[in-house]
Amino acid sequence: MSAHQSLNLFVRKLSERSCLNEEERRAVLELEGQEVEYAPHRDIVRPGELTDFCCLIISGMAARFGQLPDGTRQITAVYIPGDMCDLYSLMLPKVEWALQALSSRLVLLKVPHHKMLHIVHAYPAVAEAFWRDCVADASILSQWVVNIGRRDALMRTAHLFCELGLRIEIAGLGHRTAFQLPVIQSQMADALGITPVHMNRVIRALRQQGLLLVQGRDVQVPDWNALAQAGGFESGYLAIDQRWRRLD
Amino acid sequence: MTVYHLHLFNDDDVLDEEGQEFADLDMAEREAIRNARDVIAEHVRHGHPINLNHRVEITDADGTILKVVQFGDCVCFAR
Repeated sequence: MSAHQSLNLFVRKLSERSCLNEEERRAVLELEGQEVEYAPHRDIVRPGELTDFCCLIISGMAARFGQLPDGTRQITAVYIPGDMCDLYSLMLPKVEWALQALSSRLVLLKVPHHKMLHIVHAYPAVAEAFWRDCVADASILSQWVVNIGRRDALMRTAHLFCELGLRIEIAGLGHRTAFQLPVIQSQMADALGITPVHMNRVIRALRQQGLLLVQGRDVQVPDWNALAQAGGFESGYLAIDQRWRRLD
Repeated sequence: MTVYHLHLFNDDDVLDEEGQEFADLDMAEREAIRNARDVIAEHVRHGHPINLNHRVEITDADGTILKVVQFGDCVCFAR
């Protein structure tokens, strides 16, 4: 995917939630930045590091994580192409959580904050759309907390595979029943708050129930509704459609 | 870093086809114990019985068994 296609995906995602006119959409599409490729597992932004850019994913996947003093990490968000993974950094350029590359080939467009701020000041509706994107992010995070805190290992695994499949489908990068997940097992386990061996056991159990088939990076969901039921997955938290409502 | 595979022999056998990188076998063993405890904890949460003979086998990329961690070695009970 190219930077332009990725910006197109980002604008499409913003437009699914917020009302943007042609000029406002173009302003986002014309954002410029530096294309950078990251090696797997490399940190993009370290905990406590001051940043002056936002990261749009062109290809591959990235994750937000928190880290303990002993170096152990908990993944708190996963980002796919078309996601501006640290839009919050425009308001909070120095945070204690951080971003890392997940996939074998992650390419980002690093957009300087001053360029983002320029269009935010010129177009209040763009600021509104960015704000709503951060709210959508918080909505996902809220589900993840419920997932880790209240769902057992099988439910939370089913839930995460439903969420990622649906997000990949909405972005036009695959189908919820067949998609690619370029993530190694220990990272996936980090996102689920369980160990890799435990996760493999759960994935095998889901396979035996005919709900989920993971082969390397290929994910197949033979019966999506049944997987959603097993995970208690309801998609409402992903669909933040407020296009009818424009605040300016 | 070396790739080790942590295979689970529990109520079901779950082979680790992908493997994970560790600095040495000691680190892989520590991870195997942590993983076994996580599986045991889920059994406890669901009220399922824990078989202390169930195990995690650590192999190299060729499948040679380097270490076996039994569930019984990962928990202690007191009354």
